[in-house]
This record gives sequence, C-alpha cells and structure tokens, in this order.
Amino acid sequence: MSNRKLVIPQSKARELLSLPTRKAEQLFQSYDKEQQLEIIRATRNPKQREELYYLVPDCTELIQDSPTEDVLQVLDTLLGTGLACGLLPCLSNEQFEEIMDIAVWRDGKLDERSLSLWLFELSECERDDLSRFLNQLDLRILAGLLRNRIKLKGTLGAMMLEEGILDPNSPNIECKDDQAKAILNAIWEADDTLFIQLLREMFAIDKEADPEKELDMALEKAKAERAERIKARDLEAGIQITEADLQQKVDLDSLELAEDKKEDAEK
Amino acid sequence: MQKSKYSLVAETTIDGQSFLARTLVHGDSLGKIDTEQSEILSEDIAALAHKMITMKVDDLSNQSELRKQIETSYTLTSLGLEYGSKGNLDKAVNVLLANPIVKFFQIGNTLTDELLTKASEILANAFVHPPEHLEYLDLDSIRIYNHAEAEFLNALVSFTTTISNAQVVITNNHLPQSFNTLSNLEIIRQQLEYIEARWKYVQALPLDEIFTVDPPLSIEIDPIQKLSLNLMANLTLYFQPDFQIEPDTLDDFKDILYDDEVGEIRSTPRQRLLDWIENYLIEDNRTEEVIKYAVLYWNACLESLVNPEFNIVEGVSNPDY
Repeated sequence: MSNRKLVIPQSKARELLSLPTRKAEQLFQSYDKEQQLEIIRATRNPKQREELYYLVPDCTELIQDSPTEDVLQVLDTLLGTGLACGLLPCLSNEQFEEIMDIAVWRDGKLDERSLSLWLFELSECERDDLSRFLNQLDLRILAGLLRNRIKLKGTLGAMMLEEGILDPNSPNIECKDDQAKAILNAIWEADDTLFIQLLREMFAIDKEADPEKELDMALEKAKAERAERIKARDLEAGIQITEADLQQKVDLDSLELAEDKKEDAEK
Repeated sequence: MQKSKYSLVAETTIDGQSFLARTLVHGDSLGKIDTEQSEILSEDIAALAHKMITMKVDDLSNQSELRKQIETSYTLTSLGLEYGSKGNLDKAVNVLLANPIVKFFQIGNTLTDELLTKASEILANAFVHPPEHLEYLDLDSIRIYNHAEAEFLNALVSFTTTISNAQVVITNNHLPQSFNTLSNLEIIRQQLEYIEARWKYVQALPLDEIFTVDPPLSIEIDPIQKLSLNLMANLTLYFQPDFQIEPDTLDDFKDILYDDEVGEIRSTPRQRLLDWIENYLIEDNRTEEVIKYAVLYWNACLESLVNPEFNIVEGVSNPDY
C-alpha cells in the first residue's frame, strides 16, 4: 500500500499559506514532489504561488517542472524590481527560451519595452547565470533592441571591433541612454566574446549589405524561427491554433462554412 | 516539463447569454452536442483564449488583463458563430460541429476590427484645428465628441460598449459591457456613423469664425452643441450666420423658440432652422447621411436647450440592457 498522503490541493494551499513559515515549510516538505506541484498548480494567485516555491530550500526542480506560463506569471509580479533574480537561476535553458518567446513579443512583433525590462532584470543576476541566459537569447533580437541606441564611431571603431578589442567604455562606442549602457556593460562583464558578437551583428561587420537592411532581415528570420518553436511546443501540448491564425482576417463577402450533415444523412 | 493548455484560463465559464452558449444548449437539446463534445469545444475555446493571452498580455500576473482577453476570445467567437449561422441556432449547431473554432473567432475579429479601427481613428483625429493663419493666437483644437462619447469610444477599444441604443448625441452611459451580439455591433456601427457625420457637419461650417468666438468654444463642456446653438440663436434673432453671442442672446432665443403655454418648441422657428442647415449643407455638397444627421442634431440641440434631459434615441436598441 502507498504511503502517499491524501492531499486536496486547494485547501492544502490555503492551509500552508496561513501557517507560520517554519511550520509551513515542514508540512510542505513532508509531501512528495508531485503533491507539491499539485498544490502549486492549484494556487492561481501568482504571489501565493511564489510563496509556496520558497517553502523548499531549493525550488529549482519545482520551477522546472511547473508549466512555463505559470512560472512566467510569478516572474511578471517581480519584473522591474530586480527581485526576480532570486528565481531566474532556477529556470532551465529550455524554459528560459520559452519564456523569452512569450515575454518579449507582442502581437507577433518584438516588444522592446519588455525586452529592456527583462534585460534589466537579468543584469541583476550573478554573472554566470547572466552568461547562461545571454547564450540562450537570440543575438539578433538583442541587436534589434540596441541598434538605434548605440553608435559605433569612426573607422577606428570598426577596425577595433573587427579585431575584437572593443569594450563598453571605449570612446568609439556611444550609448544614447543609460539603460543601453548598463545592458552593454552587463553583457560585456558576463561574456566578452558574446559582447563582440553582438556588436558585429548590430553593425553587420563581415557583411556586404547595408547594416540596417541586414538587421531587418535577421530580425525577420528570428521572428520566423520563434513562430516555428512556438508551433512545435503548442502541438506537443495539443494546441493547434497559431498566432497567425488569430491574426488572420476573413473575406466576409465570400464566407463559406462547412456544415455538419451527419444526422441529416442518417435520416 | 509539465504542460497545461489552460493554466492561464483556469476556472472560466462561458457567458450563458452569449450566442455561443445558447448554441451549445440548443445542440444538447437536439442531441447533436453531447457532454463529451461540449467539453471538447470548451477546451478548444480555452486553448484559443490561452493563445490570445500569451500573444497580447505583457504582464501575465495582471488578472484583469487575463479576464479581458478571455472575454474577448469568447465574445469574438460567439459573434463569428452568430454571423456565420445568420443567427439561426440549428445552423449554428451544424457549422460549429463542422468547422474549427478559430474560424468563428476570425469572423468575429474581422467584424469588430473595422469598427474598432474607426473608433480609434475618431478618438485620435475627430477635432477641428485652428486655421494656419490663426496659429499665432495659440488656440486649442475643438473636440467633436463629448465626454460621454469619449467614454464610449474608449470602451470600444476594450471590446466593451457603454450604450444600448444609437443616440444622436450620447448623454448617458451605462457601465461598460461586452458587446456579444450582432445587434450590439449594429448599434455601435450606427453610433460611430453619427459621430463621423457630426465631424463632417462641423467641417462644413466657416472654421475661422468658430475659432474667433470669445470665450473660446474649446473650454465648453460640449463645444459643438454650443456653437450650433449660438449659430441658431443668431440666425433666429438677427438673421445672421454668426457664432458669437451676447450674454442674453440664448435666453432671448429660448423665449422666441419655446411656447410656454403649450409646453413645446414652436414649429415655425424650429422648421426654419432645420431648413436652413439642410440647405446650407446641400449647397456645400455634403452627403445625404451628413445632411440627415445634421438636421437630427440641430433638432436635438434645440430640444436640449428647452429640456436638458432630452435626448433623441435613433435606430435599433438592445432590450438586453
């Protein structure tokens, strides 16, 4: 016979949230992981869900086994405060990529405000974690975000970039705002190779076409790849509707709908 | 990794009054939609709402935003089904079973998109601006729609409506409610046409004179009503198409216009004014819709002068509200 305790998730969540922290931790940790996840999933308020994650010493497994949208909901309550860096390192690479595919795109277009907010939040993480996440981020998207905010000055700047000897404090780099500067700094501190790659992407070094056009094309490609990733994830989860479906309009003048004639045919 | 199609759409139920809900009930009563099929359809709608949320909402912890997207998904699907079945429940059951649910959403989205685009355009652009040669006076632009109409237009952007009837001038709003039937859409379409017609009517007036009125019309609660009444008062008292009035002019105008003994507006001065604006707009080559609306609008302005509670209600109304 199983030793698994019978748990009613909703009422157990309410009980746990009403207990003093130490007692709540003891009780929560007395359940197996599946039960803990059931309790977390049954709690629809993201702030309360966050509290439940903190009832175990390391919530990495619980986070990684939770639905990504649920985790993103919790992170959204913390975004812009710099406090999300407590939970962000728990994300798997796959989860982080999925979160980025949702969080920094709106109506199929890159949402620069959200991306800036996320980069700020990421810059508060430990450098190792930041480096891991930056390597999961699509460089083309980062380049798209920063392209109008960072300027590479003069031929010398281009040559230094080609040689890979630029850093954010170089006089050949001009940032239009403090946030762009902070983002560049964080990227450089976390991974200087990635920093150089990003600048090369932004200024189309080694490419013959106009940098603006190159970047536009790269962003279009990134968008298409993101749509494919989402489609694959959704199909896996049994969702067949795509973002393109939701944006599609119909010609109301030549509308043709199929009709279910099953019963009529039987008659 | 755990996947859940509906983690963001938990505990949501379909509005029982919507055409979609009535179709499900009707399908059940016909024996065509059993519990299992009904659950599959509900799951499909929930999946659609889930996609809408991840696509549109920038803060998933904002519960009211989630609810709004869920409601919008249901509303558009229901509208699309009503349109696709021409409001016939038997046909609705058949088409619901034979087409993917997203098809109805797309129809509903197409139907509403045109109206919402028009509403956004009116909100942003329905102003008359001072002519260039008066720029040095630093005058404010004059808004075509009043405060209640601004609320109506803003509500539309959130897929809700504040009116249950199309009105020549919106004076009373109710709390924003989802527009989940085609008759709601028809009311909204007509209301937007009224506001657009008012915009075109004002554009036909001599704009220089509008902007030289003292005190400026832009500070009025309803500047278009005020300028229309000023014009009517001057036409009646001085036979002059002027917008500037003296302090007692409106009272004098009211005395001429209103028959205290009978308790209503005298027909001769009223008709003279309505004929004047009709002929003015005909001469200005305005469309029939604009002319018809302007006449209704002038009549509504006259009525509101003698009876502030008055409002002409035109067109279809929705008994649900």
